[in-house]
Amino acid sequence: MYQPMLFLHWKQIKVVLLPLVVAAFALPLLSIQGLGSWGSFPHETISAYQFTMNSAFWAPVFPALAAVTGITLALSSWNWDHQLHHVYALSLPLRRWQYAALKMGAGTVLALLPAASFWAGAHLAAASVALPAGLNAYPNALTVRFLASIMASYALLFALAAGTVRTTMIVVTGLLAFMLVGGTAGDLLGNHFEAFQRVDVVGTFLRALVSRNGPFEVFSGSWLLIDV
Amino acid sequence: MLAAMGPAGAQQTEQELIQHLDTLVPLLKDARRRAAVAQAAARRARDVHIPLDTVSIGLLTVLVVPGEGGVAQEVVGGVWKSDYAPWLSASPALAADRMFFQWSRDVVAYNSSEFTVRIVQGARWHPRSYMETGVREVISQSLKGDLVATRVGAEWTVSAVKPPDDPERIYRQVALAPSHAAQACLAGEPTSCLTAFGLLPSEGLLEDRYTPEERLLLVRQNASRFVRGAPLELRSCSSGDLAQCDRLLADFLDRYTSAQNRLWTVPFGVDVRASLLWFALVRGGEGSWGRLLAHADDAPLVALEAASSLQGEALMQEWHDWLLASRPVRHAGLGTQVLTASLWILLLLALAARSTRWRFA
Repeated sequence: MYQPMLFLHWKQIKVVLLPLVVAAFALPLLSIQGLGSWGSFPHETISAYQFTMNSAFWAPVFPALAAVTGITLALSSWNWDHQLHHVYALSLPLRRWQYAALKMGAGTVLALLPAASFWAGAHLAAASVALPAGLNAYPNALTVRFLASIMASYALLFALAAGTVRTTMIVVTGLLAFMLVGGTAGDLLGNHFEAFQRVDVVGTFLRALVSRNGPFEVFSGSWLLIDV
Repeated sequence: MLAAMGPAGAQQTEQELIQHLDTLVPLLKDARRRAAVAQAAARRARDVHIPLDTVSIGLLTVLVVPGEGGVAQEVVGGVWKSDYAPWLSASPALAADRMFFQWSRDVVAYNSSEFTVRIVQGARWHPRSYMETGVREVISQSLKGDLVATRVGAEWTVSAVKPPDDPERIYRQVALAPSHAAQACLAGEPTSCLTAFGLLPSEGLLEDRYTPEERLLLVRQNASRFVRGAPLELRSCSSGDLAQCDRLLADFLDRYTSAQNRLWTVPFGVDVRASLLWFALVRGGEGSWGRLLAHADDAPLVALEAASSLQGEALMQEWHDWLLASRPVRHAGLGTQVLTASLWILLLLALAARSTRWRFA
């Protein structure tokens, strides 16, 4: 039962997933672009400073790519269920939880493709530059973080998309509205209640998501391929 | 001033202008005196008169609202005992200043023109660490006051006299300093550390600190210092002309010969220097601040050696050991983060499995 599920998911997503796999391979290489030679200067003059500046410039793109990959995987996993009104699922001799677990498993295997591609790209990037003293490359740790981040965003959107489209829309719209209006509402309430002057509700909520034990804590660590 | 004198003024001879300026000097002095009196009056007008208790903690004189002496003793005393008492036995600025400490539900404003008041204030919901950080900050401000008019204070400015908030950041700044001297220091050469700290005199084009390419980066990063006099040369330098960068730098170094004006060329910045000063003071132990002040008008290296009771290279070696111990573990806690993410994923999967009933419509 697992193989057809994986095959179905693959069929749904392959057109979108392949560019993401290529991007995951290319991103680490982009982050060290130009560090083999800095303009016309010989290699040994490149300082640690240049390495980390380049690495830091690309660092925000890594979690963004992980999030986009996870979201794409999640939305595609329930796509055909919604389109076909769950007829296929109901025709199977499976309970709901078994069906969801199989789907999740299929998505997890597919997430390994960009992660493996990222791992290869990161190792190739790390091997292609001679690092100055004091700097290290972290291809393995970064790949683990990348995969975990894909899975975290995948799981959230998977859970949302598992419901009806209506429920998903309500939750997503509610969250967006909260983030857009919450700040202003907090300021207005702060004019009347002292407690609201001290608390940034939206900021606190977003920090809670990425802080210790939050669902997206894994997004908050270092995303530098090359660092001290 | 010439514009104020009108068109005729522009035709005056140099001698007439000097004579005219001389007549303005008494007026200027009088205006300054009146401004000083007015400022003092304005300061007195801002004085806040509220009942206060005074608590003595080490060299500190702490002013508190009645009833808050205990908490001040606990927080300020804790910081004093752990961070400053082991090496700080005398400080003119600290003795002269007052610390106003308040950690309570309702904060009040306090000011006095009699002495410099350094304020550590927080609402009750602030954590203790917040108040302790404030205490360290104001003690640091006072201690920097001791160095203000000294050679060390002018030629070897530091960001603070307190324990480094984030030793990992110091390591990072050292490792990323774009200077071959800094790299050699990180690799463990004490003499290079002295160079990277700007504690040894640097001749010529700072070759002991920077390679030509590093000098290019230095000029690029400090373009605002060069842009006014030579914008075209700066553009050539920025586009990779090493000779032009060196000409710009040589021109600057010719014009500004004092160590104070060249401080920006020191590879290790104010935070890294502050970490060395702190290390020297703690290493020097009892009376180290007094020894530093006694040599504050000597070269910075002499003052640091006096404070730490170590020779320069030995001090560098020990500081380097401390630095290596502060090296950050970049992906520390990744395992825990992955475990946490896994638990959330399982929770979300459980929600997905039960989220809604299958429907036909």
